[in-house]
Amino acid sequence: MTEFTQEAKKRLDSFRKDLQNTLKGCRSVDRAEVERNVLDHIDDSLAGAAAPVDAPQLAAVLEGLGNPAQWIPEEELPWFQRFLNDLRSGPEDFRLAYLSIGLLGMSALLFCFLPYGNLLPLFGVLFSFCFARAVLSLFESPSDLGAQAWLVYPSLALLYVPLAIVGFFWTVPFGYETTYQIRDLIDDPGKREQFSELPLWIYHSHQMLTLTAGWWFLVGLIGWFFPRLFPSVFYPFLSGWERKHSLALAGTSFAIFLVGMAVTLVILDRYTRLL
Amino acid sequence: MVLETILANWEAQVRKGLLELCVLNSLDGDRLYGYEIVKRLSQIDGLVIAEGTIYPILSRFRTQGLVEVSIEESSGGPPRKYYHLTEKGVRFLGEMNSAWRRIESGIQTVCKGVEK
Repeated sequence: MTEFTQEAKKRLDSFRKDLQNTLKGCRSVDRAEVERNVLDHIDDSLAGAAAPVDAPQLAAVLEGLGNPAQWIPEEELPWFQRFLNDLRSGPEDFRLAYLSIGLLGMSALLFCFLPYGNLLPLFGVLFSFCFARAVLSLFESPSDLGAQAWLVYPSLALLYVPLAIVGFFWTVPFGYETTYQIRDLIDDPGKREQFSELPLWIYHSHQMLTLTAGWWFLVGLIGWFFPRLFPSVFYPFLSGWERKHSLALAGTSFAIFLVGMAVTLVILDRYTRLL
Repeated sequence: MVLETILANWEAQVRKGLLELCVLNSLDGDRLYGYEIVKRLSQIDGLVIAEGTIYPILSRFRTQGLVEVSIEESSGGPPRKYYHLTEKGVRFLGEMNSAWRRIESGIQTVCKGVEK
């Protein structure tokens, strides 16, 4: 049995007490046995040391031994401890994925409790998105994510969906507005009455569709000239997007746009003096 | 996924699977206490073992009747628990070792085939 200085003995007693407290309630491990293991480890490590061993020497051995929690079997760790252990020492992709979803959850909570207009939740969402993209960069293919997709996709979707809505449908309110502009161009009251025979929503829908089709034609062209743009921006959801999809989008949209513009021109010609 | 991470995860799984075999083999013909088993196993190249991992295994072996425990008082701390194989444990170890030799032989055949 190794001989210790008073200070070293106090340090050892403190470690033993920590060990006992850590292992309290552990069903599959005998606390006394683990303590015996620790003492044997210490004796073995300090076998050649001059007696009495001082506190710094003992501290070095205890540091090498590690946290007493290592003796708790993983299945007996509390769920939050397992979560924290995985964050500290799990595979990098695993840790980042949990950080991503954790940050997203915290941002949602902050949004509920902080005053409206506080930017902290927004920053949380942005960082969560960055962690999610970092996870994706560790995998060769999104299909390798497995169950981690559930941790990563919410952050991505939360940013991609608004981006897609704004990016693809920003023309809708303008299309809606042009109906009123066309109506304002009609001077003749009789023609205005004729114009109003059809419900406004038909004109609205037509204008929104035409303008949006025109924009999608441009988007399709952009996708054709920069084929990696959409897969990169909306990775991994559009990772299968190819030039042919851009071509199909541009072609279909152009056809709809042409028809829509033709109808618009007919309306303008019939009801206004613009043409 | 980074290759190093994949390899590290795979190695950890393989070690986990082989640890029970190694613990039982270390007790073959011997009577050892926990730390002695840890020391013996940590000398095996490639078998990285955390000290805490063997105790649940030993506890399970005890429940399964594969090992028996004897207690010896020791100075300066809790008594030592010495483990040794029971008859059932010896038979079980024999079967485990046979199974391992079959698996090892099969893997070597596959690896030789791949090397060709």
